[in-house]
Amino acid sequence: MDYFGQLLANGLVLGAIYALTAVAYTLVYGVVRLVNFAFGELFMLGAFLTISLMTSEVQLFGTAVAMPALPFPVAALFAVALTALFGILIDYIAYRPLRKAPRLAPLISSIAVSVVLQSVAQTIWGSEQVHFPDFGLADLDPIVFFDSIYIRVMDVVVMAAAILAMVGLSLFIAYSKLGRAMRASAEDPMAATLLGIPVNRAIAAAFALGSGFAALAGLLYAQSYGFAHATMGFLPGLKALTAAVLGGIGSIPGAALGGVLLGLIEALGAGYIPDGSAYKDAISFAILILLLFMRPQGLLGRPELNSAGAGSLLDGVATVGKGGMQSLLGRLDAGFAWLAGSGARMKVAALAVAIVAGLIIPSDYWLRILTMVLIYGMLASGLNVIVGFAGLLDLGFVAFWAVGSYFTSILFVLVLKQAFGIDAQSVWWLFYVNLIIGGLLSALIAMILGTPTLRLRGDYLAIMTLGFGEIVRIVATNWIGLTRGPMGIPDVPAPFLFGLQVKSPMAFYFVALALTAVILFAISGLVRSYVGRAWVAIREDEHAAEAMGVPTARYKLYAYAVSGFVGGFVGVFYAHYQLFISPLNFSLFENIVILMLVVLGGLGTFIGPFIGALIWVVFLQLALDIPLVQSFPEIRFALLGVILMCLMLFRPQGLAATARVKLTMPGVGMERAS
Amino acid sequence: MNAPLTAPVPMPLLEIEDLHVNYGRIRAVDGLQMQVGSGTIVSLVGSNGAGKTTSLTALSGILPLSGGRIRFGGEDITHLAPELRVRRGIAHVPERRRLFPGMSVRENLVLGSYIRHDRHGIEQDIAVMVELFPILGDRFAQMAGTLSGGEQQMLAIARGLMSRPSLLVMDEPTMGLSPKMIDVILDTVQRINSQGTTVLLVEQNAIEAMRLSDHVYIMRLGRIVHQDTGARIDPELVKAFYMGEVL
Amino acid sequence: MSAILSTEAVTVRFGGLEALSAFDFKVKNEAIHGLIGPNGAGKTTVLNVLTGFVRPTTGRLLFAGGEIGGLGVNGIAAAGLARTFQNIRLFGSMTVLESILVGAHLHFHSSPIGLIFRSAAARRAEREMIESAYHVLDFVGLGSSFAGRIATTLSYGHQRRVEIARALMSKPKLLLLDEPLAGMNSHEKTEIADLVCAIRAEGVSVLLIEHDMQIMRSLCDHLTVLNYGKRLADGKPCEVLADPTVQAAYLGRERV
Repeated sequence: MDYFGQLLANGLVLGAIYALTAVAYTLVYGVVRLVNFAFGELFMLGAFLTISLMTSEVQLFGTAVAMPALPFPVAALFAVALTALFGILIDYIAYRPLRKAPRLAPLISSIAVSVVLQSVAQTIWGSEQVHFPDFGLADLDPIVFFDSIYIRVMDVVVMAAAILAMVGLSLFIAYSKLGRAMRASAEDPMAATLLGIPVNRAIAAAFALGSGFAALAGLLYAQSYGFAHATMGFLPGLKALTAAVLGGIGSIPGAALGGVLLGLIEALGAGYIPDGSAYKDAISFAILILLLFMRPQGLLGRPELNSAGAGSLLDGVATVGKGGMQSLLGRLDAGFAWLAGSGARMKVAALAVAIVAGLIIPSDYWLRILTMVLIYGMLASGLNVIVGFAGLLDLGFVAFWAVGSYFTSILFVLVLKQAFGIDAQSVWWLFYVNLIIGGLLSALIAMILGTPTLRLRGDYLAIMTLGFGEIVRIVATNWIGLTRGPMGIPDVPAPFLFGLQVKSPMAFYFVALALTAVILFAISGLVRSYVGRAWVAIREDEHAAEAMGVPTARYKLYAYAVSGFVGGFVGVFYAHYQLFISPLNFSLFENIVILMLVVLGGLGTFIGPFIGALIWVVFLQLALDIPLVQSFPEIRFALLGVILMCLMLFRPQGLAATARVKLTMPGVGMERAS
Repeated sequence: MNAPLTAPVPMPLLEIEDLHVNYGRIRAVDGLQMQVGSGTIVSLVGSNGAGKTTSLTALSGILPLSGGRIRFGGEDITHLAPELRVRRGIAHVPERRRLFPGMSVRENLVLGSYIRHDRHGIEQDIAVMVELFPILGDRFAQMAGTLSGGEQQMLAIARGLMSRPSLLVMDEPTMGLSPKMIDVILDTVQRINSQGTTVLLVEQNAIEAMRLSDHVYIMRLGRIVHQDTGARIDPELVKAFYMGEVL
Repeated sequence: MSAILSTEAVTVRFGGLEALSAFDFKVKNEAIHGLIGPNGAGKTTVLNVLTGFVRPTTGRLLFAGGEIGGLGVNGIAAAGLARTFQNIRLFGSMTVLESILVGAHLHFHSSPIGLIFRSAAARRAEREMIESAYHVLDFVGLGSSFAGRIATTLSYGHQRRVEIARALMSKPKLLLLDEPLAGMNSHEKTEIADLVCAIRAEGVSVLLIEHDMQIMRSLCDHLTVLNYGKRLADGKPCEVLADPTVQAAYLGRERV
């Protein structure tokens, strides 16, 4: 009973924090139908600002800066207000220009904002934990209930603040003029405009309020755990989003209910389920996936919020950008159009260039970098099938990569070598078999995961795949018996080819090149046929595709399967190339990077993923020579985010957009085309 | 008194000159020319797809123009933001009502007065609306989405009036209503007009529109093809336009 | 003549609202059948029911001798009912040829392995469909020079033809055209009307929803008028359009 009571109390505190953040998601979603992934980072920002304002001196960019040393409540108030203003700014820069764009554009833009904020925070406050300063309220003795349940005074403050903020917000939304205008804008923006309501201002208000709530939650969270960190917002942000979806996104009471429920489930799960604390994060995401499967509108949500159609990322995009930008892009376009138009010759030429590059580049260092370009290019090509061709945003792709890597590593190292003492050389062919089996295994998992997402709209799909990716990572980290957990699996054997071990960077480069050719061959076979046409039709207009007799659900599953297959296939090679794998290799950030490569290079093109990979991997290395980057390596990721954001604003189709893929079988029946 | 019966109206409140609106590649409105005299009821009639709703949406500033000018009360409002047009005195009751279905009748009315700040006057006007449409008084706390079609239309008109407009623009206020309800709505339109509000009416029900209006414009393929005073327009001609008997 | 499509007492309710009440009609084989009615009369609901987007609350839908009431959107397409959309819905970024090949989706059956390795069967299927696509392009008056152009960059009139070609690629028994003349000038309208006649001459029945009475009058063999979710009139166009109740539905009537 005491144990239960203590867990209950912990759960309520956690729940209060989740609820506050969930309100942020729900508020903005309700008004503009956007899942603003950046709230996790605004959560973090609230914590950092509070800490900075509370101390007398703080390390910014590695140098000491004098600060006002405000008392906790005042600092908190300032932090909330500043973050709220920041939220308005983000809306203005990153989302407002995309209001009429296809739905995936602002979603990707919000991921970009997330990346920028996180890396900028790391640059400013450093990548170490920053301690939350002591203050009066936190030092008081805990209050004791029923003789044995200890609750800190600040925990009471957290719950009280959450309740007050929530009630205040509800009253504001219900009775104030601006609150009413926000609701009207949410229900029917055009009707609201006709009544003289400045809808953009109402949306900005929702962002301000949401950001303020996220900041409040973040600073309360930081004082509870005693520190702030640049990545601290990621998991709570994702959980809060889960809570918002659980309660019914768009509903404020729903967000409160969802937050508290999730907090309780997590606290009680960690306390009672064996090994529960290790898996408590996975529990939340499992609930999310189950929920989206069974009741996507959530507990208190309205189903109609869920029925808005999925958007095409490429559709309705005007050619934007002015003057110099335009002419620069124009030259680029002509180049890519020529590349794409030159058909088979171009393929041979690209292969020849790649082979010659492998032969003449003397530096092992650069050969390794080029091998990474090919690996990332292949992964991005796999993700491109689902995002670029079928138009479904998948944030869990990294999981398929992980499944392939772990499958082959466990088989070779933990089973064959350690359990049976079989040497890799004697079963060298198994590597090649594993490429296929790993691919099929991932494809199977992708289809199982894909089934419940078929009914979901674009942004829910993103959330669900995100949750799935996290579950795989959590399992890889915590199921030590299977994966050795954070220790990783060392000594994965390098592949053999008829008794010869692939060892030199050049050899690896050529293996990677061969696999790339295989992947592209398979993908292009599918894309340049009725299957690819069905995918693109789904991406461009799902309803019209369905009306033309395309069984859209089945073709989405095919896209998942192909995408998963490529992920698993590359994963197998990756493990044997790196010779060591651990859960750190498969973080969500990797997934965002891969997505970025596709978007950067050009969604729905064959060449785009490789162009994106080339630019990114080479940039990562070259940038290390820049002094600014040497002192702040994280700034590179901020740049990545900025590039992604600019792409969404100015060129959502990606750089190589004009290298569009022909969707008919090459050399068939084209004789009549002019 | 024998005022001149045809356009141009002596003191036009609204003047639309050579209005062009494109929907993608379609020329939905192709050189619309019309005037609405202060204190009058003017109707814009024509069969489906003639460009009536598009014209009104452009008038409110929701759709961008590809050409032409709009003057209201002597001021050029062609490039004014939609909310500023409401502040100048144009209230637009859109096609299919577009109420806020999840909000109460009262809240819908209050939202209609968004541009106003006279709390007392707003409350008074709500009372006036209840007088105009007594049924709304009985439904005050009910969600707008649960009202019947006729009640929704009344609420939409009342919501438009809450901004105290000098021009009330109504798009198909009788669409989908029963004949009895059509009479009620159109009588109210006349009453609103008799109290000094200018009315621009898009109405498919041409016979009634002609009876009601000081001036009638007939639209086809994005242009005005015929105009005259309501009394003088020939019903047979309108019928010919509607039933496809003339080119 | 037998009916290709018929509805039997189809009723659709949304909440308390009855959008369609006991609606009965028949489209005869190889007919051009018009469906008209004032705004808000329920035409869109009829369309949504026929294309499987909305399920009728009660009543039956019979198409080519079978019940299609519960088949869903792509099931109905597979049964042989193809459609175009009121506000043309072509697939952005696809060429004309690719777009209309999507219309032939139902007729492709090659296996994934066959596609990857471009087996003879897969190539043959692709070649046959591309041939047939060029044939359909000629038929709708576009010709092969349009095949490689991005469909959404064409003029409005040409986009409409591409959409019709896409629907014809499925080899439908009935083609449902939703306001195909909207936004067109009178010259373009006549051309589309001629195309509709040519489609019927190929043995495809046509159900046409359209506002332009002048064209409907001359083009349709049969008109059905909807008002308040009910069938108001049904018959030959000149008779139907002269019917005072139909005229009143459009123009309103003088008060008594």
